[in-house]
Amino acid sequence: MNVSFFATCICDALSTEVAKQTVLLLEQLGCRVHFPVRQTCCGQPAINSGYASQSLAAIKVQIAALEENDFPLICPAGSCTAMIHGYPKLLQDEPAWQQRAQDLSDRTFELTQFLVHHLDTSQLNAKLEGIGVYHPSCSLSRKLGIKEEPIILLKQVGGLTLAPFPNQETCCGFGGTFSVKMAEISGAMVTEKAEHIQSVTPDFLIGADASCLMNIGGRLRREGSTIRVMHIAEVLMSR
Amino acid sequence: MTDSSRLQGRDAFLTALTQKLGRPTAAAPTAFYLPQQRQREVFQEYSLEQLKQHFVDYSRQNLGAKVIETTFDTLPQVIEQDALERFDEDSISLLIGTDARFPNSGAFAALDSRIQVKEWQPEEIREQQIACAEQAQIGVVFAECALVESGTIMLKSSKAQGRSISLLPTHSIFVIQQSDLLPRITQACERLHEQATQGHRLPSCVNFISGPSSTADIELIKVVGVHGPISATYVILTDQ
Amino acid sequence: MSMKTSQQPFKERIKVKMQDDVMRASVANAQERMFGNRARAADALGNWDDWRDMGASIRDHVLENLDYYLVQLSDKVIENGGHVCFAKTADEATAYIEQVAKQKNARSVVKSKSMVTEEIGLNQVLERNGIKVVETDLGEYILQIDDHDAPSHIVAPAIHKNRRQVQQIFADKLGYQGSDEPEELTRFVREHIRQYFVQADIGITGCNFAIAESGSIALITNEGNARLSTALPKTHIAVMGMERLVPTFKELDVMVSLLCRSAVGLPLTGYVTVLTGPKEADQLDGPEEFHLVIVDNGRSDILASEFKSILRCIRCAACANTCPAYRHIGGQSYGSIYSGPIGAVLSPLLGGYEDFQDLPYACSLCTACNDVCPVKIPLADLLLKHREVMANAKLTPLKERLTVGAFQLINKHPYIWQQSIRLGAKAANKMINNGDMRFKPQAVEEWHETRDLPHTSHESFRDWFAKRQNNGGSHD
Repeated sequence: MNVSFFATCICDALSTEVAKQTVLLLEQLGCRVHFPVRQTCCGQPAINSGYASQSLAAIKVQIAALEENDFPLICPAGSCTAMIHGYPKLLQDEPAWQQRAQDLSDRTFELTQFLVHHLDTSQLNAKLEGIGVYHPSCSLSRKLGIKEEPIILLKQVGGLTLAPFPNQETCCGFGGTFSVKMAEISGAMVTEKAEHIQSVTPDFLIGADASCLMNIGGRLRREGSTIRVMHIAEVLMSR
Repeated sequence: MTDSSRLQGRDAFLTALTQKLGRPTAAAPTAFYLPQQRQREVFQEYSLEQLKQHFVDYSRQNLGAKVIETTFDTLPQVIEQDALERFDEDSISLLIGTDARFPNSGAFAALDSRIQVKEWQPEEIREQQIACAEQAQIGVVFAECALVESGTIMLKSSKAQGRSISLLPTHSIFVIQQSDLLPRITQACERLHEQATQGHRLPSCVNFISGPSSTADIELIKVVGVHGPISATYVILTDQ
Repeated sequence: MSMKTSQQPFKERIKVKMQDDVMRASVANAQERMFGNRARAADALGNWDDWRDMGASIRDHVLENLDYYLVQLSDKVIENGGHVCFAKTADEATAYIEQVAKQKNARSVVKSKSMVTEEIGLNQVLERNGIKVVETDLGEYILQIDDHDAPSHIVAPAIHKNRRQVQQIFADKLGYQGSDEPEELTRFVREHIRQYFVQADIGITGCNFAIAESGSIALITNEGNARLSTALPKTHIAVMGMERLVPTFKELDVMVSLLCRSAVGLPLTGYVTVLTGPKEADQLDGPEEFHLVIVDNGRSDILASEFKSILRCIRCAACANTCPAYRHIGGQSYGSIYSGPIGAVLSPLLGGYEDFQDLPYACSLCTACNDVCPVKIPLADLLLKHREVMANAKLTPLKERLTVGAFQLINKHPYIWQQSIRLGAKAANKMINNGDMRFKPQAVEEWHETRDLPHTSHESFRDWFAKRQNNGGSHD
């Protein structure tokens, strides 16, 4: 199956391993991965800061870039997927663009959602020995309603035991520009999140949003924790 | 005083509001229907016995109320016993409403001599009756109906049963006819709605009371007994 | 106290508040309990989402037909022998109440908890007239005697204090000598406040819901103070935000069911009191005079705006009880009597951006509040909407607008974007060592306060992908 890949700027520039492993994972499951090189940032930093109308020009460029093909577009992040799903509403005053945004939105899938509902993952053969905790990011679980899919996938990983932890569904405090604009509050949130994760002494922290993982991982490292922080694509590619 | 002197500022206020709502004048709304009717489904399948059991269990476990089942004839004795258990004192002041559904006052005259029974006297002076309620340890009232889901007593203020009786004494005794058990507030609200639809003025005070008063304003820890009564006993008349 | 509770800038305020360990522990404890209670009550009822739909549709219907229902409500109150004042502004409302108090030669007033009376600053107006005002809700009373400390929660206003602090306040102000046990503290207040109820000339309450068809008001409490405030004083004044009504008792049923569960996790609170007009002539207790004050104070402007859905709010505070930002900064950090997500949406609308412009940013847009709201207000969306309004009106900092402008410029040019990512990845890899950087731009500095910077790779993903493609699909 041909698929198109939306890397997200964080995975393109910083958490590159997440993007690489996602590509390898899709390939292993029989996909041919295309990467539209003209793709840019989904616009989230500006849009979530209130600059929606100022972002429309960039969004249109993005839509055009992703129209390079009409394959399913796979994104390894809940928050960027949710953002693309929000394009039609942002362009509601321009019917032609709104339609293009809708077409794009309809074929845009978050990674775990696509794996579970559109691919056969029974031959994954992933192995990861130890105890993992899963952080359900707000974008994935609340905005996209993707709650079960990551768990279904993680349950297939040999050797991995999933442990619950306190206030699991609470936001990690990333929130895009929130993490720098309201750094004090964001810092308190991630500190408590790290505490809650450490309280069950896992080997791995697993998530499906690289940004949240960068946030929580940054805090865990600050505290000298040895918990390994892994995106679900990396977990599914572990042997 | 004329009606208009009791109404201030309405025209200007509403003209501005109607304008904000984007129409020339306020019009009667089109009929409103709820998207669901979940409230009617609660306890729909319960028999009267099941309803009573839930009411008793919830009131005891969640509200800390004492619940007694008895019959009409033994009501005075049950009240007597509850009073004596609750207050180990030589003189216990008990204030009771004069609701027609209570046994006649003679039945209460024969109670234990430690219990001073006083009746609510609507013809007396307001301050005196309030003071009387303030000094009473126990207030006894007849309930309009009771709500099973929440262990709630519904009271209507009336000439015979002032608001103070169930409010100022430290202990409340509510008398409920078993046939007046309703599944939840839905059915009570339906009755009030019916009354309003028929154009009747509602009683000035309708109370839904669930157990004794309580607060959780300090550390979210529930403390029973704040401004209202500190304890409550529900007496269900199973033959009524 | 009016709506605004602090003169300090937001950032300074949260800096101070976040160092208050007692507050933070108290709020976290309260949040856990209230969140759990609400969730259990919703589960026990079942079909909670349908109930929320019912609640939202009732509230929307009311807002859509508010003018009609206010006519019906006020007609009924008059018919029942009551008085009604429609107050466009806070001043009109307080002036009316002041005038009633003067007419009655009132010396003392008992109040049961009401947000709208705080919003309009009623207490100061009454006190200015030499009237003693006693807040009778336990939480409000603690704050009142603690030199008017600001409330930190819509439902449990003194939630930022622990029992030892309450004990100390009672000892200092009231000569209390007992323990710090909540039960003993509560009994003490019971005895202490009783005298005020008996003496008061006027009882003032808010209004959880007015019922248009009968001209009644419903008060929802646990403590019994609203009953006392309306049974003993000869005059009762109820103050309501103009949107707080339901057409009939049938809708009251649904709204009360939602409110009690969402606020305190109970099917019904201790007292749901439905009051209709003054007492009947043949009854002894209850008020001889009843006044209903219907307050706009900016609400009709909201009704006509894109923030309309915030007027669905029934003040349960479920959003605050789930909000992670609220958890860490506490209610007083909002600088408004309305705290938490609802406060962050409502305060700028009622009080203006000048005083409350920071609140919409005190949110990670996690949307947990959207999920618990019993009337399905999209709170997080409205917070974002506030940011949009401020950005469009250029109320945001110039530096931010310039940064966003630069970002947009790069982001809408794929080639420049591509080069930025490639160079950015290389630069980040060079500059970040051991989770730190020597020269940090301010944003990175803020991040680095609590977090290490990430491990990165020497090349961007797109470079890796391109190379791999050139090599015929194999890994380099």
